Amino acid sequence: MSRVLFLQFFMEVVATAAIFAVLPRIARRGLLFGVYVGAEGWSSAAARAVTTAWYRWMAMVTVGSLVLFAAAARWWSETGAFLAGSLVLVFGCLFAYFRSHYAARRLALDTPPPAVTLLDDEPPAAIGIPLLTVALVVLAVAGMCAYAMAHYGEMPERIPVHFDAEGHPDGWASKSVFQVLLLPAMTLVFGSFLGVMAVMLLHAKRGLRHPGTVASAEAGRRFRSAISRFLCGMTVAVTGMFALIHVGQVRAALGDEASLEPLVFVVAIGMTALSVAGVVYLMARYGQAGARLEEAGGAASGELTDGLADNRFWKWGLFYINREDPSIFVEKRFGLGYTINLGNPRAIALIVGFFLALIALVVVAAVLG
Amino acid sequence: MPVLVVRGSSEPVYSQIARQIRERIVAGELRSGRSLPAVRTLAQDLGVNLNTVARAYRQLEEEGFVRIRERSGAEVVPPPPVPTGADRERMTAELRKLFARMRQAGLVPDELRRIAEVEIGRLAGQSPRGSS
Repeated sequence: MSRVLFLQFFMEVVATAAIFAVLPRIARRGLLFGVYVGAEGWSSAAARAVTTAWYRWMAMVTVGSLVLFAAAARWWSETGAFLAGSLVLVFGCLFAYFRSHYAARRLALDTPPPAVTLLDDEPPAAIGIPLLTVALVVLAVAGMCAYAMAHYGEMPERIPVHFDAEGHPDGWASKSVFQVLLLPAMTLVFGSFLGVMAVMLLHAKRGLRHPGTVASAEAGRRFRSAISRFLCGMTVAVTGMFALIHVGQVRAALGDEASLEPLVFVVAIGMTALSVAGVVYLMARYGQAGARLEEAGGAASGELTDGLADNRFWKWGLFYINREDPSIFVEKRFGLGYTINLGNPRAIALIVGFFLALIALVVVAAVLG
Repeated sequence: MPVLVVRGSSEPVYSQIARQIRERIVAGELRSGRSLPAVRTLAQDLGVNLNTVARAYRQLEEEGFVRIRERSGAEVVPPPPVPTGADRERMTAELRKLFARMRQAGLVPDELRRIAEVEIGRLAGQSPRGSS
């Protein structure tokens, strides 16, 4: 088993399991595994029993995944071990979630609390950092294009386009301007999408409480700013990583086959570590959508309202579907971050457009290759 | 300053929004010149259609409480000047017509009196619309 593969899997399991396991600890008061059970029901013995069962299942899933991975790696193959371990992890987490979700549904409120909004002014959203991020992405992509085109004439007719886990080329294609500029194009699509998301999240639907509406709005505003900044940081990191890989690819095409090797470790471990560190910080500092700030500010005792409290708008506690609601991004009911309003055609167009752009790039590259 | 909306209430959502904003203006909590949030902000928070909030703002504009701005939101307008003798006579005539219509619809004088008392009671303790 290669060191990189083992480290990658180990980190994947430990980080996923640890983050998932502690999600109930950071949840907003009233939300239990994607179900709104009310502030009172949330503190009940029945709710605690559901959470305890979740911890037990997550421990079993983590251990099961690692044991299967080790056994398969020992007696089968590394790829098989990675696949089998990951499948146990993913399906184990899903099973534990749905089990807890359906248990929590028995505690759901019959009548949702009223929806609430505020007539008070909120400070304008600070979009400077997201805009700067998009500008950086555009600059980086321009630099990547310039670097590739400056060396285009020196490249052979067949150039490497795919690399194995150790960073050695294992796939080649005919040289073309599109092949050479594919990674910059993907960087532009990916970076722009993340940058636009960082702006849009600042205007996401507010999950307000009543009473305590003003304090919960402030907690939510601070959380939205923080997650937007986090997204900007990740965008810069991903863009930087793509730029490094691009330089490595060009160097490899020019005959320097070892050029990608030092980057493998950064790609496999660095990005995972960076994103996990960011998520852990957000969880510890803010909690789910600012839950910790709400608790500290004494605003957590009010009932959540509308988008988060009305169980009729949520499918399995994961998908928000409200055709009336003009919101695109909505707080997740379980976990950290935001999901989209599947009842809003603009939200669906955003996601579909992003994936279509990526797929189109890959398909065109495959056809030309 | 929260605004609450109860889904499934007999009072339409737009009316609930308009009524609560009107009450705040009458009570002097929302003074003239004060901006109201953008239509989208209210619609997102309440999970209702943009048209529902826009309709509430339009109703308040027709009643003379707010002015709708070019870019979505609205602004509380200054209160009308203190009514003169002729104004008072015109308002009283309007009220007289309204009571006559209600009487024609079958409401007995005691019911009319009760309605009037309730509405006056709502205004009691609220200062007139203030100006900034």
